[in-house]
Amino acid sequence: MNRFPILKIVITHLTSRKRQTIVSMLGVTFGITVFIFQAGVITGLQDFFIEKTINSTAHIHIFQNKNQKSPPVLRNVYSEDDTWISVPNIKSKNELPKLKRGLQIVEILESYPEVSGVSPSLSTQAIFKIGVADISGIINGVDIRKENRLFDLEQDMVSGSIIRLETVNNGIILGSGLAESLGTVLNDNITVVSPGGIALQMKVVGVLDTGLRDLDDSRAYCSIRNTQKLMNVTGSYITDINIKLEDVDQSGTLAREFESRFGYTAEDWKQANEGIFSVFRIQNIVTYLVIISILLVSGFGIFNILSMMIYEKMNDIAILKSIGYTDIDIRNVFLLEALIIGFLGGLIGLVIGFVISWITSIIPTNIEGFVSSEYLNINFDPAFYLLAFIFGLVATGIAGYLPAKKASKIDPINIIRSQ
Amino acid sequence: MKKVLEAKELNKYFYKPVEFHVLKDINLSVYSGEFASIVGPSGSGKSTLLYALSSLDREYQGQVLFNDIELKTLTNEKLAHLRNKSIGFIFQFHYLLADFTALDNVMLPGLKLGELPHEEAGR
Repeated sequence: MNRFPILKIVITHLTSRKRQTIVSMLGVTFGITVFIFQAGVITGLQDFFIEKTINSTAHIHIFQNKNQKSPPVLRNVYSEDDTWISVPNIKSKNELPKLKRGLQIVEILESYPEVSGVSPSLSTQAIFKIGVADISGIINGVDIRKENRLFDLEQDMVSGSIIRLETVNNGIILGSGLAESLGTVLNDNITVVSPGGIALQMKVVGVLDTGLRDLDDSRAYCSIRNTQKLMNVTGSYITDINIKLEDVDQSGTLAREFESRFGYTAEDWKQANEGIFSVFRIQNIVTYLVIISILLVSGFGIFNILSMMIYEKMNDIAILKSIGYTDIDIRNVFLLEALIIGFLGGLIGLVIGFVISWITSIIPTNIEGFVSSEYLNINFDPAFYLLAFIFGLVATGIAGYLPAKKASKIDPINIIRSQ
Repeated sequence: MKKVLEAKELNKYFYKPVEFHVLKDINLSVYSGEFASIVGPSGSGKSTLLYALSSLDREYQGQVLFNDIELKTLTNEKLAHLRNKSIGFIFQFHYLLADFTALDNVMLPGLKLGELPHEEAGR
């Protein structure tokens, strides 16, 4: 007590005006609760989505970009400096989107220590038919064991098993949405028709549900050989190589390296999902704006209450000053009161925020849409709790400092004489 | 005997609402152990004089010396310490801190000074 003569005053002030103290604490509590909850829900959703995306898309995807226009052949004859060349209606060369020496590239890629899995594949548009029902989708020819190592397909299987793709001749695995629209179940026979007009009878050996709606509604897997048959191409024909890395963060740099080494387009997962990330960025900005405005409001609440309190306690301040409390003591009294309000209010806010987030995370929501998930995925990252708490303290600190400074400037003689 | 408090040529004016000369050339010495009282009709400037002598008011002409230290030369902080250690106040009106107990009201200067342990200050 001796070391902190102002502590007694602070405690007395806070406890003698319990309602005022509680109201201003609630302001902070509310702000912090919303901060925790909103940040948890938004980033939880984003993390869930990113995780799903990372699991179901390759870290690096190598393919031939068909859209690249070939430069006019005249360029070979005339140099750019001397001659203007204008060729209208340039069309791409009629090249198949094949990766030449694709299987050798796969072997080279497998020797990289950073690479944890490589899966060659080829894909084509196809129409899936059963009876009168027909639906177009994309059929992926894959080496199912390699593909499973990359995307953990086995875990997402709703029925059937991935290994039957190897044991059953003409086996096919359908996405859950695709199977549902076709009305097929396990072991049904369906017809797959390629754009080239080749039809194959196939047997459904599995149904897959990744949780990413777009994929589940359109994607099917079958063996590389069968897809090559559908496309009427030779045995070495592959169009895509999907790569998983030990460290996802290296995807950008390695993609550049593979691009220059093999001469094909190498796209990392961030580029492939750029649209989503820009949505996330906007979402984050909105989230933080909302949080900051809530804290601003509770900050103004504290500012108001403290300013009023100082006005009411002019006499107290004058007496304290005349019995020897310095300007700094007076400032600290009110600043400390604000910080205690911020500290306790923040602490309660953290607890309530956690409880609300936790309750939300165990209530089944069954979201269907962009992604499907049984529960709301909520981020309980301690960094948010720390950040929210620091934010709360800083906001109340600033809101308390200004009136506290004003209180410290009060000249006691003016108050005492005016009585 | 030691001179504790001394006022030299103390002049004090009020400027609002009109200029008014309250204290005119006050010369005053108070010695250690002395018991002094200031008597006068209301409005004669007793309180004003005491505010100046007790270092609360410093807008006057002339000098007030406390233990031979000129009060005007001290900073706010040193003045606060001086008041805390050496001056006791009983104000004309009931200037008490309403939220505190009577004991706390008496103890507050001692708490600030911090020279006595809490139990002793409370005794």
